[in-house]
Amino acid sequence: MQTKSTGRIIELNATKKVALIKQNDGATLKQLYKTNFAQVKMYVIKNNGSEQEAKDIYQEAFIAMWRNIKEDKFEAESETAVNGYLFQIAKNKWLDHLRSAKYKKTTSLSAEMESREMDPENEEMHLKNIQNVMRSVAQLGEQCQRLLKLFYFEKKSYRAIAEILELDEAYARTAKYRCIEKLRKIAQINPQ
Amino acid sequence: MNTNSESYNNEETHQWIDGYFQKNLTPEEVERFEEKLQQDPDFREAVNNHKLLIEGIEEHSLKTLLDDFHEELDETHSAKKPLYARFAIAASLMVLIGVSAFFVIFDQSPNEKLFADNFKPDPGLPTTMSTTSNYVFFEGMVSYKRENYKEAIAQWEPLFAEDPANDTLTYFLGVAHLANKEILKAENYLTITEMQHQSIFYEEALYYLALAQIKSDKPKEAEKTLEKATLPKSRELLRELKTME
Repeated sequence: MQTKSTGRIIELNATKKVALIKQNDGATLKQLYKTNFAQVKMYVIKNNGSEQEAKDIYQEAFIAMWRNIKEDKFEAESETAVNGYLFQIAKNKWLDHLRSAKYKKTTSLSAEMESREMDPENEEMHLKNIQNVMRSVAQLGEQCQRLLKLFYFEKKSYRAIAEILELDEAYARTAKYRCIEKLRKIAQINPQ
Repeated sequence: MNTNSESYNNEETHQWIDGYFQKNLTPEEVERFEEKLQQDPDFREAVNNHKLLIEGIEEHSLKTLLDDFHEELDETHSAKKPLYARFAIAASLMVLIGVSAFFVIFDQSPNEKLFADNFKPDPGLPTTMSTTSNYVFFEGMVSYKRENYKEAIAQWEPLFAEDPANDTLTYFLGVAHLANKEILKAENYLTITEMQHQSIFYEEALYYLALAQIKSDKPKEAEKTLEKATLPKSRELLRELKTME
């Protein structure tokens, strides 16, 4: 009986955690990030990597995990499962990196694709497109970046944004649209 | 890129697609949306592009967040410095502070002091007044009011290129450059503003121009500028200048 109820609690915690990750809850993401780095760093360094490489691989893995959770491609049964999943992705990415030095670079996507169902070519195209958009966002002014982050990442309402940035709500709405238009323009000009 | 989907690049459609992804639409609207998605390939493309932009924005935000988290990780690691190193750092910091304090107290010229005591950037125009035609100007005004002078300048300068006679632009460009410590450029813009005697910014432009001239060690020129001014703060500044002669 005892294990059943604690099992249920663990299940609930995982579901809650997944929900928070999907909402981009800052505190949840931060805790997840900080608790799991040490393990990845140790693995990478033990396997001929530097601390910087550990950081890069870890962040790539974290973003992949985050994406898969958002797209419901990973079902978390417990918090430890999420941690384990993150580590697994990081480990695979590092192994691919070690292998890609000898073989062609096309192996580097396999770590992420383990949990995805899209075919490899579309997948690569999609990733490139997202990277293009990311580069374009970085070219926007600070205001636009803040606005877009508040609306699309932190998922705040126009009213809340208006309060935070001390603007009219109507102005915030139009301003965000203008930022999107700017972003769209930059993203189209950038080469793939 | 299919150019027919361009017809969906308007604010109304944009908000509608946002509403769909945020699950803010009524069931009827959702049905209408999904039907259109099925039947209209241009609409489908517009929606896919919209989704891509959102994904890129989210991932960009996440990446920035991760870098912040990592910095915090590094901070906690480097906090474990050995004691003697911490003392050495503290000691050298104190020497540095002492030396710079010396220079600060003794090196500020009277003109610099006069500038520093009197310069307060113009509070700017209310940003609720924007219409679509001067939208970019008010975007810059928002940056200006947040003290992002560099960004305000970047937004305003192209407008100035198109309309160099616009005294609102030249005035605020002048003050923004002054706040951004680009004295020569500030002087140029404020001089242009000052040439328009009918401008509502005429008196303010005189005041800030004089301040710019004071900062670049041209007190005589500042006096000449202020002789033309009638604002109380300009008269006061002129009095202070004269007592410094």
